[in-house]
Amino acid sequence: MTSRSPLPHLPLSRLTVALLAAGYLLAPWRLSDFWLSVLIYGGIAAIGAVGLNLLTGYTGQVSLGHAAFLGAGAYTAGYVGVDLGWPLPAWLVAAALAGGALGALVGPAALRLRGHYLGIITLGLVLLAQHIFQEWNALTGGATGRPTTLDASIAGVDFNELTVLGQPFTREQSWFWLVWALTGLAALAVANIVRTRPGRAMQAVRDREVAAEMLGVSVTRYKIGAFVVASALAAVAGALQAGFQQYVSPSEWSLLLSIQFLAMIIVGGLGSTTGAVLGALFVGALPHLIDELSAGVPWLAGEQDSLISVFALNQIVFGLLIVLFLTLEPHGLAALWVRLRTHIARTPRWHALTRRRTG
Amino acid sequence: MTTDKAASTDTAASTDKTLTPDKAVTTDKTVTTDNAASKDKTVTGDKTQTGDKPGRLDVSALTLRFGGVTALNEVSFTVEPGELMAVIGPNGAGKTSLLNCLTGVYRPQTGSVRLGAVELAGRRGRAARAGVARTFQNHGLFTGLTVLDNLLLGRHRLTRTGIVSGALWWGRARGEERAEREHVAGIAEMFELADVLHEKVTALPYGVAKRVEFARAIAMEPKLLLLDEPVAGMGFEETVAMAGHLLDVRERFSCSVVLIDHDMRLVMDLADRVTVLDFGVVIAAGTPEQVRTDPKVIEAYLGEEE
Repeated sequence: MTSRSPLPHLPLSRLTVALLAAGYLLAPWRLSDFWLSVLIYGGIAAIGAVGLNLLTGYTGQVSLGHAAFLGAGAYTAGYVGVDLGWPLPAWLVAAALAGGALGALVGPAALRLRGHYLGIITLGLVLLAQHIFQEWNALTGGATGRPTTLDASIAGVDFNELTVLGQPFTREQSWFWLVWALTGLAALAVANIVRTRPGRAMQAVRDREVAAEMLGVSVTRYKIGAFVVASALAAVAGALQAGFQQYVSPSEWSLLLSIQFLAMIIVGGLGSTTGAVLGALFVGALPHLIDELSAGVPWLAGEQDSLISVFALNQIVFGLLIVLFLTLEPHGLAALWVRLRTHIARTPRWHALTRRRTG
Repeated sequence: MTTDKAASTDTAASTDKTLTPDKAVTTDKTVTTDNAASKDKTVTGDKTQTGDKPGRLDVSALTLRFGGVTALNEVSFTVEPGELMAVIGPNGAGKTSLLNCLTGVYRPQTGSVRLGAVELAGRRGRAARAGVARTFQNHGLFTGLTVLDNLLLGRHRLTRTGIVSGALWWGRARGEERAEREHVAGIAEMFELADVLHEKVTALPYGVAKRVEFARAIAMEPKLLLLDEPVAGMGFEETVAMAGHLLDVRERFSCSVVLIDHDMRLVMDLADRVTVLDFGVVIAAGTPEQVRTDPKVIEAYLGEEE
């Protein structure tokens, strides 16, 4: 046992953590507001994705209902942060609580249904939620939507108008720091769950439900628990999206969004928190990349004689990516990442730098 | 090596011989008196002494049907604390169905399964809480996890860290994780699994996987251990090693064991008593010697081997 650390460590080496921290601090100075906003949306998506990954990747419960929880979080934040005018911690916590409560309501469906059937039920949830979002005018502003310029201040620091030592920052710069701090916390929390008793129990439920029960694992508790955590994180993501966009409409919380989240965790690699973050960045950034790259392509742009719209191209690329990853690399970007790391570690020059705690 | 250990279990078996000859009668009595025994101490008969024993498994008149098929028909037997009961029978005799009834996976139409004062029949999840550990025929390991994680899951019932504490990696989570990891490392040592502790179970040979599952069951610190064909498909050496582990476990933890297996030599060497099932009916019960010579058993099962 002496050669192994007795405690489970996170799947990131110290070097990686240092690089990520440096990137976190420096990116807002280096990147344009456009790319910062791409990364902000990626970070927001990552919060939802690590939650969905806990539910689907680690607990084995398919959910197409993620968009509904994001929407619930967005409108909860809108109510608390705009209508009530409460600051950032209030609407974040309120969104998390609302999402968690809804998850606890929906979770029991997973006790009776599994696999495709649970997928269908949660799909129904998205349709139901969209209907509610369109009809509940007082809260959601109806089909046209509502403004959600949330009060983004915490302890006197306002992320909508961030000024440090007299230097003003753009909204993108400050929201980048806000969102990625929360993304880091969310990923850490999920990684912690996974490496301790509750996470092992969830994976046991995923792999063999009956065997898990024979060990005294309460299938009810961990299925519903995973739903609660996943939907609370989805609601936080929804709240942040609402806050950053400053406006939300019901059409955003559609089945397509749910499918995009599934795409993120599949492309990232089911059952890997790092993978979920990578997948969210990839899927989140892809439309913008295509946007950027397609500017010079004649048959692509939004002109009349274009062959295909950018939006349609995005859908095609998504579909292709899911198919390709499921068939060629079922463990997703996370597996590619591990392979790359192993390759680097085996290259002598890098070995000293990347060596992890003796293991 | 096996003969040595067999000798020691034989002596253990002989102390129990007083219970076994009129097996059918004693189990019948159990059905009627045990309910009363726990409440009413004036009940007469020699059963009162054992009726209160907390670790005693009492299976009575268990009947399980799937549609028109009767998998188990009025099956009754008892396992005293610390005893090793083997259940044998041809394929399809209802052995695994029996284990599924004992652990609440199947709900029998009639009959009861009691461990001490706790009723286990038809209630999933209660078996683990009552201190029952079980292995599966084609091992019930969690394939996506490492050997270590599988062993730690054996400790699930004995630990407390919840989702919030785990997420924060705070308070109970840290200390418990450290202590449990050390604990299961000791168990891994005992089962010669220390080298594969960090392997995914899918990467393990069949025999090693079987041993991991056995170790996981032991990690639960069970009062009653249910083993479903622990040496099925194993070679001679692996079988001997597994038998050694089983003897070791009985010596150290003094739990009762219900052992299902086809390996006649293992069963006859290790068991204190044997119950023989055929088409869901108990056709014989007694010491290994009694069962071996029972004409009904020879006809139904053992005859094939001669």
